[in-house]
Amino acid sequence: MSDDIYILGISMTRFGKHPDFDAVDLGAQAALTALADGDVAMSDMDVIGAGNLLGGPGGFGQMLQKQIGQTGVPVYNVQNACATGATALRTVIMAIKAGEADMGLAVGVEKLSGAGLLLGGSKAADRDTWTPSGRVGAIAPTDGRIGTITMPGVFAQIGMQYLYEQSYAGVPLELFARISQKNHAHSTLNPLATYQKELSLEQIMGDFMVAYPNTRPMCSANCDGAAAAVVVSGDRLATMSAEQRRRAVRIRASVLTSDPYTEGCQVLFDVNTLTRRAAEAAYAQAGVGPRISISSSCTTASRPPSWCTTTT
Amino acid sequence: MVMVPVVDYLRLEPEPHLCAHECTSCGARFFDRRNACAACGGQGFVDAAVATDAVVTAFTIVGFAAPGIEVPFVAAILDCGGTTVQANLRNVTPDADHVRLGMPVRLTTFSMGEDTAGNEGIAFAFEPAEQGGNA
Ligand SMILES: [Zn+2]
Repeated sequence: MSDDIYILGISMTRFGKHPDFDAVDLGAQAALTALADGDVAMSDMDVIGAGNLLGGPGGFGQMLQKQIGQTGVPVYNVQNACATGATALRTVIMAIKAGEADMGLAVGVEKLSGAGLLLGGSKAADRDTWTPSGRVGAIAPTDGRIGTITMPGVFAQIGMQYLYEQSYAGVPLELFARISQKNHAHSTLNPLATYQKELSLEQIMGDFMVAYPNTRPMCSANCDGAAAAVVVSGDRLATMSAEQRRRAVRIRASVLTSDPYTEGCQVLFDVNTLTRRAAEAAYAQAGVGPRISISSSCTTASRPPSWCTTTT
Repeated sequence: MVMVPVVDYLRLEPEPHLCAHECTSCGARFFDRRNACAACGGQGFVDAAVATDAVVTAFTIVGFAAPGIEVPFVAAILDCGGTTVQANLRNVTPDADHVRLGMPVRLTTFSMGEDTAGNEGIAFAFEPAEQGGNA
């Protein structure tokens, strides 16, 4: 029996503002085209991994089934921050590895247009007296009063901390802007990207300063979109058509980590250690090294300093 | 009139300072109410006074925040004698010419105003350690 697992079909919607489509519409669009891409149907699926963090209905996976096929198979709804969709995929991979399924559908969707700042904020205090509450006994919201927890601010500090540790002598704003310039240049090659416009260094540096050194074009825009994949075991794939076998892509590694304790990590996230560990584990599992493989982190937050989180 | 610190880990006596929960097994420090130690699982903690002199190891100048928060403000990560602390910087011009990585700062407190019972909220921040420095 083969332990190999393959992607049989895959699909992604255009990312952007989709005011006329809800999360289930977007998820259904991705799922149906992924099924078509793999030349299979909902009735072939033994398991569904459904990822949605924000802006969707509760129980997204069941809502999706009710639109595209209620076959009674197990549905796992997962939430895992930036890695929610990847975790849905990994859930299906694990179900197949465990021998509980031969084929499964993984879907991830977010509906974030107009969501504003995803974290932080000064929720109006109803109380008219200074009354301590919560885990630090705060008498007022701490965001903005004791540092920031907004994503552009948090990732700005993560990048700045890296520069401090590396004794970087240049101008942080220009360094961050160069990374953004590269990313925006890449967007012109992706027809599914929300923005597909090249920006000059001057345009990026001169734009609105959200959280120094992060200007607006360095931050992820809140947008809507979905992606889906059909995953199949090697044994099941062996029974399928020549064309399906030709197009299937083997998953050489799938790993998941969480952040281990390091000094200060509960004050400012240590995004480096868990990323490095995940990369090392994935390379080991795949039996390849960074020279011949491309690793990428899946994130939705403002994470311009890609050099401090990825190891490619 | 009573003075109420903005968070319970700000202690006003005898001099204002931050106070961490220090794990008695491994020495890891935390500022929130603890169930156990995230580093070693230990369940014993003692109060530990945190140094009031610090060095800025990361900062951001926030220009866009939720309603009710004055912008721009400087948020920073500080090394307080080996303990990592988060705070705003005060008494410094909020731009990249005046705030710099590695700058020495010190704890300062200020009033948040009085509540309806006449009690005064006390907040903390850090300010440049050099007198009249780059403010
Ligand atoms: Zn401990």
